Amino acid sequence: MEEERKHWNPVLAGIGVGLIMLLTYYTAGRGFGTTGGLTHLVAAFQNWLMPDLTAQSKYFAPYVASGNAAEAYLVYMLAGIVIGAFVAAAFGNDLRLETLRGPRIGAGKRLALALIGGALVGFAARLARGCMSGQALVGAAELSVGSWMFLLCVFAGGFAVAPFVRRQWL
Amino acid sequence: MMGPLAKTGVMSASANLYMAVVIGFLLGFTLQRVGFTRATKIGRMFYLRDTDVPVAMFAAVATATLGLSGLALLGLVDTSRFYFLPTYLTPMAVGGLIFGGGVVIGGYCPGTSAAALVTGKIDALAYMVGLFAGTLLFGDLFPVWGEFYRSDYRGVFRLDQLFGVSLGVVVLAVTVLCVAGIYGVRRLQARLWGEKTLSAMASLERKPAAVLALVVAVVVAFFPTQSFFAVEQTAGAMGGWDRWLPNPKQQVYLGPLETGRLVYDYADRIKPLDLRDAERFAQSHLPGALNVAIDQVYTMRLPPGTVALLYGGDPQQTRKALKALWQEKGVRAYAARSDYAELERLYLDPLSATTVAGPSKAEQVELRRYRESIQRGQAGLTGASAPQQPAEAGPRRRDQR
Repeated sequence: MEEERKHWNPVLAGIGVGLIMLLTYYTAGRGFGTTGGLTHLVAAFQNWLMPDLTAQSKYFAPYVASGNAAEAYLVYMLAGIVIGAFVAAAFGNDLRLETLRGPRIGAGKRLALALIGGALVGFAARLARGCMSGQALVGAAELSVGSWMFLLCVFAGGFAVAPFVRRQWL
Repeated sequence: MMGPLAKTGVMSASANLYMAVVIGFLLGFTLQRVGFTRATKIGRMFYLRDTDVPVAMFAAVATATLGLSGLALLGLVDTSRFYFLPTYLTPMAVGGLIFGGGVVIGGYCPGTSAAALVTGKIDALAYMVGLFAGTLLFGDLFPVWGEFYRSDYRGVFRLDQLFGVSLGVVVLAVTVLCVAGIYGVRRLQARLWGEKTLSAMASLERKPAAVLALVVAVVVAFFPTQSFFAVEQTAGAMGGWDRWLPNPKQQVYLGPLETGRLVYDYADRIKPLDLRDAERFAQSHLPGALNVAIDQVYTMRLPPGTVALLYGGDPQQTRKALKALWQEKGVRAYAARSDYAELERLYLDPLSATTVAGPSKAEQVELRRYRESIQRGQAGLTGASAPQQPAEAGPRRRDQR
């Protein structure tokens, strides 16, 4: 397990993430989140290509409207996440082009599955109003019933589908 | 200093945004260093082959739960200013199932994929293309699932309310669950895949942190904590943060187009407050509006989660009313920058030209949509076609459409 020794201890990292959440509450009065910022970017992208369609979309129109302070907050946070990960990888000598996968699957198949998985997650995160960070972690700490339900269902869905993509990971 | 700093006026709006970058940076750095930018680590958790992700999640939830309770108990934060996530139970359950399937197929969740992309993971690029596509699909075909998306709304609904126990007991239970969860998933991994698969660092996860967390949780459990998430009057009791409502601390005056959008988007909880005199109110007013004098604003009762829209008052009156509503009553309140004549022309008068407000084509389209909806009375408001209605509020309808 040479490779794993490079990683931080997950308990300490988790405590760190918990403290970061508290910092977000203490400064902004809300939890953090990733998909909120991503959705803002998606809406802006579509608005750039197809402004009429976006204006008519009951879902996206509010995102591209002016005065959208709460969303902007998450866009800034997303920028921070990207910078932080890059810096961590750069200083840890961990920047390299690669496709991570189990030993029994080709790179092409892995990329196709990543695309499909991404589409499912993109859709589901909108339906559930958040993702692992913004809904599951933050909501679990807020003791929200909806978030705990989401979290349980994420693992239920994951374990249910796992046998079908076993070759991808093991 | 009393938190949340951005809402108690200690920190400016722009400082808060810079803070968001700092917070994101810390998060991204941590995600990379703990190895969660590697799809194999995330994918393998669903076979319990690698349990670092659930272990970190348990630790994060325990820390944040205890920390939130602690901050509130120590009086360091005003939780009535917090935004809490609302519950839409069935959509969140269905979303979770699809989400979990997507994660094991794709190998990332949204945050980790963005972080993985910049560290050179090619599969993260494919994943993010999918993520964009999935989001576009959801947004552009929103009418298909919009109704489901909005269904089963429970407001801010916490576990203590669900189980009918005190908040402190739930905090204790969650902490115990998280500590037990860490040891539990580690044991399971060792049993299924052998001790050797546990990372060398797992030996660090010994008692001290767990004992500390449990002691703090026990202390919290025996505090009178019933009231410290002051939910009833929080702005958070309203819709998801994926809606556009501006933070009243930063923006309270809305332009003509934004006013229409507020009425349209928040049809289920908007309450227009007409500050003009009774005579002019009787002639015409926005659908569902309540005619109030400025002193009434201080005494009136609005249902939790209401979004108030003020119009027709002079600037000084309006400012006073906004302050009273937001700072003293915790109601999100906005004011139309337009005078009543403009609102009437744009949204109510069926004979006026429709192409007057926005400069861009997209805005014209938007305006027409709000206008049609308000004129048809489909915005869920009462009395759309009854300008002679008495000045009381109509019954509130939550589940329109």
